[in-house]
Amino acid sequence: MSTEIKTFSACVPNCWMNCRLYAHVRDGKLVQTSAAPFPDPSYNRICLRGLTHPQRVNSKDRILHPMKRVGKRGENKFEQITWEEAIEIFATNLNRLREKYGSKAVAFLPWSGSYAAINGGMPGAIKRFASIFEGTLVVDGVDFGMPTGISQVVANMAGGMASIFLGPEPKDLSYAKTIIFWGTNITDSQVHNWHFVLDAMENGAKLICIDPRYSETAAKSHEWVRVRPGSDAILALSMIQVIIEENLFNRDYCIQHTVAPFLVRQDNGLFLKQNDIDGSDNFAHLAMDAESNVIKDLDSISNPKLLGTFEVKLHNGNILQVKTALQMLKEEADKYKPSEAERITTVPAEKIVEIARIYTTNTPSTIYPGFGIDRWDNADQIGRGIATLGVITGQIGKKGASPLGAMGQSALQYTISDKVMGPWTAPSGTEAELLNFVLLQQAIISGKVDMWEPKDPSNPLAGTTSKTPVSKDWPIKGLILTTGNMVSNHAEQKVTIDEMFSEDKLDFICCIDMFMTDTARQADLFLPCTSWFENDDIVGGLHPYVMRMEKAIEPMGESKGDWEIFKLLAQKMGWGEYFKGDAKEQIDGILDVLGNLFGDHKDRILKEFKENGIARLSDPNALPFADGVFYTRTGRAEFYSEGVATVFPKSMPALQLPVNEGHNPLPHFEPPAEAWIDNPLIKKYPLALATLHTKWRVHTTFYEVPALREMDPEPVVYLNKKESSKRGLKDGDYVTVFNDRGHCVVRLVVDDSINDGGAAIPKGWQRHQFKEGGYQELTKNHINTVHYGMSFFDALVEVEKWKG
Amino acid sequence: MVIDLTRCVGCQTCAVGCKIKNNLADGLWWNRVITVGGDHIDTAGGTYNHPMRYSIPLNCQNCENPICVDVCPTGASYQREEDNLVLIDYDKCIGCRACVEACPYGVRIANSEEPRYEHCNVQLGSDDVTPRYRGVVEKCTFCVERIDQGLNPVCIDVCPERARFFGDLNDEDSDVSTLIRDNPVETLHPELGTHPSIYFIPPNKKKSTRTGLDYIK
Repeated sequence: MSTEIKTFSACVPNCWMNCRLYAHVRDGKLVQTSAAPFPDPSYNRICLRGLTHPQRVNSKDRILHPMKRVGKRGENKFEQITWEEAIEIFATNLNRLREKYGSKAVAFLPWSGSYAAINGGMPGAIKRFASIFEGTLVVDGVDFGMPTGISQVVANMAGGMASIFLGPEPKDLSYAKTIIFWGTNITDSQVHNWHFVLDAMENGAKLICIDPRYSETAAKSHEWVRVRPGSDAILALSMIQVIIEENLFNRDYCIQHTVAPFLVRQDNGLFLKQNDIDGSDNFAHLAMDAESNVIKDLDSISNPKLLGTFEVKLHNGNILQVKTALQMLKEEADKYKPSEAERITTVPAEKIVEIARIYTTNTPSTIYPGFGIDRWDNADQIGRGIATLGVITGQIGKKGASPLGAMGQSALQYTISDKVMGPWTAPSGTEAELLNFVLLQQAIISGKVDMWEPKDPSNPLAGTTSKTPVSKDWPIKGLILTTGNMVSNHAEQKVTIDEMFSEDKLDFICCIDMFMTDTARQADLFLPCTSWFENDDIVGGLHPYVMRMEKAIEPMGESKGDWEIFKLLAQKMGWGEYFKGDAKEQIDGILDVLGNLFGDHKDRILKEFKENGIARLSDPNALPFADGVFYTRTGRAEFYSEGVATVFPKSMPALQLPVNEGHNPLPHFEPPAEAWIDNPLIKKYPLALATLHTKWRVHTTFYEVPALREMDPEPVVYLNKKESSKRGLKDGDYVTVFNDRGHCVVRLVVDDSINDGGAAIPKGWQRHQFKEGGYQELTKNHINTVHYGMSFFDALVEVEKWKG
Repeated sequence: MVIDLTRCVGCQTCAVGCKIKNNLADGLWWNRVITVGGDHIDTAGGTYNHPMRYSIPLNCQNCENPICVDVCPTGASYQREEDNLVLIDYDKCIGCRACVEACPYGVRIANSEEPRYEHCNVQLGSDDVTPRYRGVVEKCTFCVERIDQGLNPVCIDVCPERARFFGDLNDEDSDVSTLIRDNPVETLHPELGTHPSIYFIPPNKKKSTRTGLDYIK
C-alpha cells in the first residue's frame, strides 16, 4: 500500500481542458498526479502533460529565488537577491515610472498560462493590483480572429470571444450526427473532447475534417478535406452557395430567427425600416410579403419572400432598390460556385457539394472551428462563414447542433468577465486602462496607439469619428508579466526582443515565472512563483465546473504565489488594505460573487463547493440560442449586419463599425495579408508556415519537461516529400527556415501529411532549445483593425539546408 | 487487457502515466505508443493523396506462454500462479539479457548503468513500486501493486479516450471478455504461440459504403 496522501488540485494552463487532479504527496513532495472525479464522470480527465507535474515542480531547473539582472538586458545574467530587496526594487521602479510618465505607462500583462482566479491570470492578483495602481492592463489579442467572426453573426453586441462561451458544453458533441472539424486537431489540442466525438460515432455520426494537413483528427475522420491554407472563407461561401441553390436552407428558421427576410437598402447597405417609408418614429424592419407583393412590417407578414430584388418608394419620394438579406448573401456566395471554389481552395467541386449536402441533411450537425483558421489576418471572415452556415440551416440551438464548437457553458466565462469579477478585480474603485495585446507593440515602440474612437462612447452603435483608427498617445515604459511568455508567443520575435524589450524603450521589466523562459531572460527583476500545487485557489474551467485547488505542498524554495507577491508589493506601496489575508481567504468571496449570478442556484453551488470542492455553475439543460434569440443589434442571427463589431476599445456592447462607411456587412473572402498565392513575395518565400499546437506542450508550458523531451527531443519542421526533394533535402537534415524577419535551425521531418506549399513547426520551443534563432522570428503581427487577433499562420518562409 | 485502436489517438498519456507512477529512469519506458504510418512518431504512411496512420500502445503483453520465462536461467522471470502475471524478481536477476533478446515484442529493458534522473532529485510515483538498479532487467508489471488492491493499472485509468480496458479474461461477463466476443480482435505475433493477454481492436471507422445494387441501371 503506497503511503502518498492525495489532495484535490487542478492543472490549468491554456489548453482549455482544466483538469481536476489529485496531487499525490509523500514526505512533503509532489510525487504523482492523477485524475480526480467530476460530478459528471464523463468530464474525468488527465493528459500526458498533466501527468508530468512532479517533474516540473521538482525540477532542478526551476528558479526558486528572486533574481536581479546584472549586465545587459537579455544577457541572461542574474544574481540572487532577497524578497525584501526584490519588493524594494519593484516598488521603487513603479513609483518612479508613475511619477515620470503617469501610472498608465506601466503595463501589466497577465496571460493564459494559468486560469486560476487568485494566483493565475483569470482574473488574478495582478489584475487587482493593476486596478489599484491605475496602470495599463494588456488584454485579448490572441484567439480573437475566428471567434470575432462567429460573434459577428450570433452575438455582435458583445463581439470578440463571446461566441466561444455561447456554444454548448463539450458533452453536446455526443448528440451530433455530423461533425465538421474546421481548422482544429482536437485529438491533440483538446484531447479531452475527443471521447465525446467517439460517443457520437457509436451512434453513427459522420466526421469531416477540414485541414491542409493530414492530422490525427483527419486520420480518425471519415472525410478529410485538404484545403489551401487561408482560403477557408471561400470554402464556406461555396457551401452556402450550394445550400441556397439547392434549397437546403431552413426556411422557417431563416424567417423567424435570422435577418434573411429583411430588406437591404441598395443605397447605403442598411436595413429598410418603416421610418424610411413614412418618416414616422417606427423603426420596424420591413420585408416583402409573398402573398400580397407589398413591402411592410415583417411582424405582420406570415410568408415573407426570402430571395429577390424589389423597388420601394421612400418617404422623400425617391424610388429605391432593395434586396432581401438572403439575396445579398446569395449574390456574395454565387461568386464562389463549387468549380470556382475548387480553383482557389483546391477542394474538388463534388466534395464541396457533398459536404454541404451532408451538413444540411445528416443532422443535427455541429461545426467545431479551431485556431488553425484563426491565426490569419482574414480569420474573421471564415468565422462569419461558419456561423452563417449554422444559422441559415437552423443547425444551432439544438442538441448536437452548433456552429460554435462545443466549448461553451464554461465556468471560465464568469471568472474572466470584468463585469462579474469587477468587485474583486477593482476593490479600490479605480481601474486599469485596457490595451489590446496586438497594439502593445505600437505603444512601446512609438508611444502611440491607433485605435477606433467612438462617436459616442455611451452608444457603440453610433459608429466611429473617422473611417480609420485614430492615433492616441499611449507611452509604455514598464512591463509586469506573469502567467505568460510573451517573448516566445508574440509574433515577430526579433521586433519583440530588439525593439519592444530594448533598454531604450522599456525602463523596467518584471517577470514572474517558475523557469528561465524566453521572457524571463529579458527581465530586470525575476520573481519565482509557485506551481498550482503550492497554493490554495479557485478556478473556473472551460467546462461547466468551478473547482477548488488545495495547497498540497509548501511553496518550494523561496517561491511565492502571485497573491503573496502583489500583497507584499501593495503593502510596500501603501495599499495593504486591498490585499488582506492569504489566497485561501479570497476563495469564499470569489465564490460568493459567482454564486450571485445564479439566483436560486447559489445555495446549491456554495453547498457543493463546500462539501466537494467542485460545483457546476451552468444548467445542464441549458442550450444557448434554443430560443432563437441572438445577442445582436436586431436580436436575429445577422449573417448580414448593419455594423461590424470590433473588440477594441473594449466596450459592452461592442463598438460597431458602420457598413455604410465601407465595412463589409457579409461574410466574404479577403486574401491573407501575406501567405497567399497572389502575393509576389511567394516567389521568394513559397511556403506557408503553420506553428502548430501539439500534444507536447500547451503553448510554451511544459517546454522543459524531461519525459516529454524524451519523445520529442528537439524543434523540427515538417515538409512533404515533394517540397523536400525540390530543395535537395533529406529526412533528418538540419535546415534553416527563414524569411526577411528572421530564421531558425531545426531538424527536418519528411512527412506527406503536410500540404504542398506548406511547412509546419510545432510551437512552444524556447530560443535556447534551437541550434540558432527561433520559429517566432518568422511570424508577423498583421494588425487587423476589426478582430485584433494575432495572425501567426499568415507568414511565408523558405527552407534550405543548414550550412552550420 | 483490451486496447481499442479505433479510439486510441496516440496521445501518449498512458506512456507518461506509467513513466511517472513507476518512477522510470531517464530513457526508460515500459509502455510506448508506436505510430503505424510514417518513419517517425506522428507521421503518415500511404501516399500524399491517401495518407494513413494510427497508433498502437505497446507494453508487456503478459503472455500465457512467455518466452522470457522459458529462457531465464535463474528463474528471476516467472509467471504468477494465481493470474499468470509475468513478473521479475530483481533479487534473482543477473542481467544476462536472454529475456531481452527473446521477447518478440521488445518490451524488456536492461539497466546497463545506474538509473539516471537528471532533472529531479525526488523519487516519483508510488512508493509501493520496487525500485530497480544497475544490472537488472525491468518491464511493465501491469501495475501489480495496484491490481493486487483491486485497482486498474494506471494506463487504464488515465486514457482520455477510454480506449484501454482491463479485467479477468476467465470471467465471461467482464468488460474484456465481452469486448473480445463482440469485436474482431487481434493479438501481436499470434504465429509465435506466446498467447498474449492483450487484445487489440483494429482501427476502423464506421462507414457506410455503396456498391453493387446501389448503382445498377
